[in-house]
Amino acid sequence: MRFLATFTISVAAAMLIGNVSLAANVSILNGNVDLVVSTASAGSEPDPDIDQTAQLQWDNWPNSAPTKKITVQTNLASPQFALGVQAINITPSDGTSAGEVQVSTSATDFINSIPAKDSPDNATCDLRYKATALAADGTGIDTHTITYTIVDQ
Amino acid sequence: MNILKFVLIALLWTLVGSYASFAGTSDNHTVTVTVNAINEIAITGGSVTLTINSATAGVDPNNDVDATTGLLWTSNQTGKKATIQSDLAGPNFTLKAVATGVTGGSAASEVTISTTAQDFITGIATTTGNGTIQYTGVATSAEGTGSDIHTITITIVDN
Repeated sequence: MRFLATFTISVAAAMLIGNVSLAANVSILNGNVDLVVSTASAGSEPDPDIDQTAQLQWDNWPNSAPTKKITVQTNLASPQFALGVQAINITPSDGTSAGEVQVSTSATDFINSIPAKDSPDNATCDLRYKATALAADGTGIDTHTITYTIVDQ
Repeated sequence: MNILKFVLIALLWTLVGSYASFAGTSDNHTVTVTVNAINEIAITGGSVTLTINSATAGVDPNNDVDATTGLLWTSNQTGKKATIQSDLAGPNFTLKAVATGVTGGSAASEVTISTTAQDFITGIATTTGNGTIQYTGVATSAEGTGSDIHTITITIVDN
């Protein structure tokens, strides 16, 4: 009987630990993004294209959880064109933008210092993507799968 | 009983471990970057006036030369060139042009401008570029006096 009680408490503790871990989550809102570079002023490099239609949402709770950060990376090893992304309009007290980062296949810090909260607060930011192409880059299409991951900082 | 205890603890450990593996959750989406063909060219410096009004006695009038206008271009494609032409079908006087100080391409030889497109800049390929347009007005004594008004068009085309 004592063992059964211990086991039950242990399972409950495990589930609690599980819930704590699952409470750090990140999700992308508004789906995929298309950027098109198609204009230039004569004598200058092509105009970058900027898209700000997607958002990121995350949670980090309860308040005993570690401070988190969100990283960004692409699966495209050798893109033809430069792609940057920046977290803007972060909801107050939900983290600090790392500024515009160039996506690569290495996970790069995107939002830092995400504090733990008492309960889920659906922190959000806008994703500002910027595609830049040089005349020397030619024409073509890069298809990235961009992954955001929330991890312990 | 000890075996059962061990199995249950192992199960518990696995359960904790499997939950813990979700500690860094992630999400992804597709971002597509498309770069279309871009070929832009522009003349800078506005209109040009050439005036022939002097000569050395015994020879044809002196040419007038203007190099106040420039050319800018951007192309993210290969195999391009810029041509030059006029809309004036039967000019009284000769108008020549050549590009100087060219970057992002190669200047063609000086051309006598006509209504037929002629090579002006060659070797334009995935580059930005610029140069100066040098116009030369030429008149012989036999051509008399008058004014020619050209609309000059410079175009990026395939080689």
